[in-house]
Amino acid sequence: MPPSFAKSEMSSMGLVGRMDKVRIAQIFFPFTLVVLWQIAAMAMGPFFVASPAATFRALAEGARSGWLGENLRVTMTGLLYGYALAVGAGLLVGFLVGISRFAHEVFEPIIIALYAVPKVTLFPIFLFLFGLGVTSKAWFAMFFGVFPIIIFTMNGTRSVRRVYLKVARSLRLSKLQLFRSVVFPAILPSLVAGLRLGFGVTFLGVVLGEMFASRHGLGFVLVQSVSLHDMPRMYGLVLLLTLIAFVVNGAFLLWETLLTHRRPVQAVAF
Amino acid sequence: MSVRAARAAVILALVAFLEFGPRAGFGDEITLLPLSEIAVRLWEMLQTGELSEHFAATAGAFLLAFLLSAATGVPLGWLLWRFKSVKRVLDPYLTTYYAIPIFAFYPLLLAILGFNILPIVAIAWLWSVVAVALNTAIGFGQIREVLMKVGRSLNLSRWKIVSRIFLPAAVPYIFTGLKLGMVYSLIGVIASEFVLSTKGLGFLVSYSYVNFRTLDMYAAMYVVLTVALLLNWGLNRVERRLYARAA
Repeated sequence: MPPSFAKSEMSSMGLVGRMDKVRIAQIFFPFTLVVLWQIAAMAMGPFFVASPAATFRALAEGARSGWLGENLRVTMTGLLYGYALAVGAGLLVGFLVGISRFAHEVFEPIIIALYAVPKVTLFPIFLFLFGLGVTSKAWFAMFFGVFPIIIFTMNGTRSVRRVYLKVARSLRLSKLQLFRSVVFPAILPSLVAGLRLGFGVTFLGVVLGEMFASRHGLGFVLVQSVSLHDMPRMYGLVLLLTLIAFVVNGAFLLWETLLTHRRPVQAVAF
Repeated sequence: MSVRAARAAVILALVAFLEFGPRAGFGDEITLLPLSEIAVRLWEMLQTGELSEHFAATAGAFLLAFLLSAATGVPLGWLLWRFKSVKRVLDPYLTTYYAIPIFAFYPLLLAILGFNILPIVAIAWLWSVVAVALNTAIGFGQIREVLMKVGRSLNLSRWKIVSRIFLPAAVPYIFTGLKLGMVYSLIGVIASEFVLSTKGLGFLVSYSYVNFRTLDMYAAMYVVLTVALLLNWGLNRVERRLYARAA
């Protein structure tokens, strides 16, 4: 048995008791937040903080009367189209730039620089090109989400180890076989990390788009509620958006951990 | 062809597209304007001082948000590094933090804090503080234990170990956190201004759009892009130098 293996097994056995405590604390964390929320609501009053109960009532009322489902559907449609575009373009561009070292060196700084720019101000251009509606929203969201996917695909492709490729060549694999059984499995973990971060930013793009110029969608209802000062509805919408982000992100995290058996990349997105 | 030349060619091609794309009838000519016309208008706006009020508003909110996230993010990062179990508990939540569309909190903050600079600063702070804290925590974790051991074996006082060894070793990592803090603060401020506000460069873009002042809108966009690109470029240069010195 190689020593590193023995060591890791030992330390993981020692960790069992502590890991359980960590898990329990992790499960309790959201409940702590709800308790703090309740306390804040009682201390500051309904003008500033809607209580958890009032918030849930607002969401339940929205579900019954239909505005919630209707606007949720609009937001999710935009998100779906935008994300599909971002994934398609991101994987393609990332892979093409990643397989050539020259292209990688030329484009990487440009892509990183574009990534860090406040892209939201460019939204009017999308409105000019595609008009008001789901098309402009989807392309705008794609423009947000495509960058993490490009960057992670590109760097993943770049970091496939040379020795794998050499083995594949000496085994005389065809191009397709090379991709399917060597390159793809090697880059999959960074692909998934890119897809996860890309989803978060695409979601942000959709909500921002709806907040700025739209007649439908959760982002629109949220901005509309400011003038009505409808606090329970606003807290409900923010909670709903946060929960959607948590659930989808959690699924991606699970996939990542299953693939790598390591802790997921804690990269941050713009 | 060298990498530098190719990169310059790509950037030149992009700029050329911004100039000649609209002239060649890509899109319609009322809404997509060539770069040179925008540059002329931008020059005019700079001379008349139309921009200065908005520039000052954005700069003020940005500085406030950045100072706030530096002053809170670095100590938070230190706490995360110092108390490993807290970090382990919070890890899945920290990893998920940037998946939340944080700008959804902006209308809420507007309703709570009113139409002023506060909700903008609050959003920019929320958007940047976690990046600062995470990078500070990761950075402290990178400092090699052997450096501290040398300090202890030289019988340095606790204060001297911190000031002469720990902090200098941590500087590049803290800087990376602060760099992200700046970039995020700027994005947070400009995005909030764009969505709903009464001043600032982000507001100027959306206001010009809503009032069909297309030329002004593009001029403001170019200002935003230039500021962001210059800030990034400068920060990356400093960062590279710090890491080169530390290595």
